[in-house]
Amino acid sequence: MAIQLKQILLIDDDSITNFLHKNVLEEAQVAQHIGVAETAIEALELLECPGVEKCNAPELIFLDLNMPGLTGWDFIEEYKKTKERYSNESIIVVLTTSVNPDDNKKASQLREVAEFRKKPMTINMVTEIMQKYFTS
Amino acid sequence: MKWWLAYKKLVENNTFRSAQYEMRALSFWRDKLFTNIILYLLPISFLALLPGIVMSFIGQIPLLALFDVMAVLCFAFITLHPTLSLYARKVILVICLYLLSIILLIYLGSFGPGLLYLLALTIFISLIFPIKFAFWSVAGNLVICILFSLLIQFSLIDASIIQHYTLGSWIAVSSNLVILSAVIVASIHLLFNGLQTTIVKEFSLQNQLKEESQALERMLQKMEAKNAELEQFAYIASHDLQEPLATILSVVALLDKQYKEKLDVNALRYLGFLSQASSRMQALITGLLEYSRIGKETELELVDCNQLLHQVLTECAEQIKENNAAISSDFLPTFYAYRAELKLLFENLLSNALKFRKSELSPQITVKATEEQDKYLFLVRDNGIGIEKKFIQKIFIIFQQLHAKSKYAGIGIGLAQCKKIAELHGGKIWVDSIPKQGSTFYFTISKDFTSYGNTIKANTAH
Repeated sequence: MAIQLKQILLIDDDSITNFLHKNVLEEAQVAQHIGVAETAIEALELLECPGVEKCNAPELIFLDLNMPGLTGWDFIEEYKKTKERYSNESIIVVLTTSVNPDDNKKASQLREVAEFRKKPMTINMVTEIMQKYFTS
Repeated sequence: MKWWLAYKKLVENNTFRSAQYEMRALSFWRDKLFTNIILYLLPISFLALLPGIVMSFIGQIPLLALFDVMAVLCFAFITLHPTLSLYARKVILVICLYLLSIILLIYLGSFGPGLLYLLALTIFISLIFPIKFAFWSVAGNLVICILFSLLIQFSLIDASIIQHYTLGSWIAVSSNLVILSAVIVASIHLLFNGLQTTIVKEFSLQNQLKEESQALERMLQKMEAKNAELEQFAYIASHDLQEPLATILSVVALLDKQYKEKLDVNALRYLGFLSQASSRMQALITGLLEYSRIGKETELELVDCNQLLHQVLTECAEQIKENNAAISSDFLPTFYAYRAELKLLFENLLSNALKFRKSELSPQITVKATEEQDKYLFLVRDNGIGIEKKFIQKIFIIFQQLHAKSKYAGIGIGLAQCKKIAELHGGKIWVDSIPKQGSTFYFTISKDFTSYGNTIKANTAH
């Protein structure tokens, strides 16, 4: 594998899903570190830059929409507000179980969402995304 | 009696045979009236025929007797002829009566009912014909009176009327007739116009009502179909979806039991995942089914909420003890309600109050109820972790949770059930909460509903 990212973040309330997705990413060998958050709040905490003005955000984020408390949409809203504090912009891939056309439409209208994909994550999907966003 | 009914039916068949009435407006009543008139005219004229003939022979006017007979024959013709049109019947009757009144005038003069007949004819015409014919009838009366003036003035015939009147007295008498008939026609015209407007308005209102009720009926049918569909869905959820899931769970259990020694740590972990996910799915499906069944196949009964709460507390005694919780309640009301559902409502609110407690503080839960004009207002207050404002709308939606599954167990159905149960009782549910201090859940039970319960009870008792 040519390119390896520094960090990928998985956000999903289902721990089994996170485990499976982490397995796929490890098998694809696309990142040095894979972070896991089970709620949007947890994810936002991971994204904080304690003590520094600017820090690196994960290059790639896989985001579930339907989560307890803050949803994936809420996460994107919060992320937008704090975007300036990162030295890079994350590629956000929405990963969801139900392919709801309304969700798809909403995602396509958000500049922050790069991709809208259906679960489960596969090696092919990861390879495609890597080629599309991280080759140059 | 039997004969009379048969005769009546025959006459009505003759006159109404081909008539089509969109609504029971004036035209209908005109024809109905005409039918009624000719119905009685024939037998009555038969009865009057004999004295009429006798009197005309005594008065030595055989022509009058002849005319009497002809008139009765004419009545019989228009009453009994099977195919004659209604309009023709009316015209013939009117002509016949005009001739009768003229003849009566000529031969009997002011002793006879001639002028009275003319007036009656005008009224009769304005009743059975459209009103313009009645104005023609007034004009006809005028013409007849003028013709008689000429007869009298120039003594053109040798009849009783010439002996009775001078031109002056005739004009005095006949002008009364003309004016009276004009006034009557104008009055009837006014009255009928008003009636017609009312009838048309009522008819269109009725039509509108009919259309609206039809639309409502269609909507109801649609709703019923949708409901049936939902029930079918619930059945599928309960049976068809549960079955393969149960199989998965049994196979996982079998693998775990028979291959525990042979499988490595990872394999056992995956088995754990499998069992975890299938169990959750089973819980979700069961929850969905229970949710859809709320309010079905249950009957209203008189529920003492004190007793109901006591029952709930007894059933959760262990949970309460574990949490070292203190629960206080006021005197609660008694009303008609769905007992099982109301119990579920209390159970869910109490178990939430216990579940979402602060770790450092024993739960203190208060249950209260107040009676308002049209409803009972309940509250369940806790000193737990509270809910952030932005999530308050979300908590009553089915399967929506605020906390990670690992932190608080459950599938997110309790408050959705509570909402459906409150609505089932014509009420609402809402929450006031301060994060980290506690929540107060309110719900209402409509009194309309509980008294409606009484009427249902009364109806089913019959």
